Amino acid sequence: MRYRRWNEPSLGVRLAAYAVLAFMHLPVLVIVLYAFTTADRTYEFPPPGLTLHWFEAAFARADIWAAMRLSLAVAAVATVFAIILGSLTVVTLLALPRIKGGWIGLMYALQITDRDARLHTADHAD
Amino acid sequence: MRALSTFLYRRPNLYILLLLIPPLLWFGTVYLGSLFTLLAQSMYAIDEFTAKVVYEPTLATYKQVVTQPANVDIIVRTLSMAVAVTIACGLIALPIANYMVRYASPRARAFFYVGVMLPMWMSYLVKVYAWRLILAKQGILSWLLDVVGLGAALDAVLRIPGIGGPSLSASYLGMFIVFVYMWLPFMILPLAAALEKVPESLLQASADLGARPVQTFRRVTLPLALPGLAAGSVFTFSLTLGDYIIPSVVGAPGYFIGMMVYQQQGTAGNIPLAAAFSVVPIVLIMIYLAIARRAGAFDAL
Repeated sequence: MRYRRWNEPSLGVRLAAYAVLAFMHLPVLVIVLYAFTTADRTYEFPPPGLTLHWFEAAFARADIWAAMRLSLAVAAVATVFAIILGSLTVVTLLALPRIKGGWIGLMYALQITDRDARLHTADHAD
Repeated sequence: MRALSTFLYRRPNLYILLLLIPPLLWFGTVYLGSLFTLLAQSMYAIDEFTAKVVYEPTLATYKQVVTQPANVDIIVRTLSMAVAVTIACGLIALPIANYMVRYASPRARAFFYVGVMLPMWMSYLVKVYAWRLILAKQGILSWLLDVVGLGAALDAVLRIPGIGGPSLSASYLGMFIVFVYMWLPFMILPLAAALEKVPESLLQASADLGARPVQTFRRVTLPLALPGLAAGSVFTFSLTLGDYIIPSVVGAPGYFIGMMVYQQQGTAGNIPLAAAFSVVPIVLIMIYLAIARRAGAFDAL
């Protein structure tokens, strides 16, 4: 009789884990594939042919470069601010054992929930 | 400089307060400020004839939200989707989170962590449109199912009233798949963090006492990982309630709360109604947070 190691995962568990991981990357592969398709307006699959035309078309547009520069600049500024505010919060949370971070964590969780609504209100607040 | 640091070192509370001021200031203005503006807006109502906002406090807009059948439909639809997505995310996240922290070798574990986080770094919109390609009528999924001979099964599923539709990309089922996909990392990561804290000695003890792996999982691992599950569910639940992009790109034409807010504050120009509508998820989430807090969700964050 063959004994299994006490914590050996079953084949099912292993397969399930890798299947979920594959599921999480499916759209990435799809986007990469469709960057090369010759189909113009349809979502045809499998692609009728492969081409590099879309890269040429994208790089030829000036607005894409401007948008990329702006995105990079905004991302850099936002990152700096997030690092400063985030690390300050974490440091103080660690220094305050009595509050247990429960309520502060809750407030932060709350922030994620209605970001869209607040975005639009901020737009219209006057 | 030295005097200052000594001074602060002797007064740890003042020091902490000074550190807390910038985040609190940010939190206060950006978050609470906009939240209270929102609440204030929802207390007004729009004049039916002039389509202008009447700046007098009233609860008429709230009444409109909770009594008009069309509005109640939107709330129920969004809430059911959020519950379904949360349950599905929990079920899908459990095996992978458990595998990556418990069984995978250190290398495989790093691979899994990067693999789970990688999709989060990709543009949200790109992923949504990728799913539209996958779920479209002539798209990848229907092609794949045809190849393996399950095309008829897909058609049968799409004929189910309520979740079906002309194609996956125009059905609630398709929208559900995209929601689950989008929020899965938000469930896996807190769950993995909670599972990591489960001491291996307890699992060994359970095995020693004769429990089968399934029994150990159900009676030892799962109860101890509950805070992680609760924390992840807060994310999946609230993100589904607030989202307005996925329902407008994929899925059946029925409105969701986020879309209603977007439309009312934009083209329809009814800011009070939009504000009252966005208070609905806030209330729902507060109720949910109260439940999750009892399950220890914030000890795992």
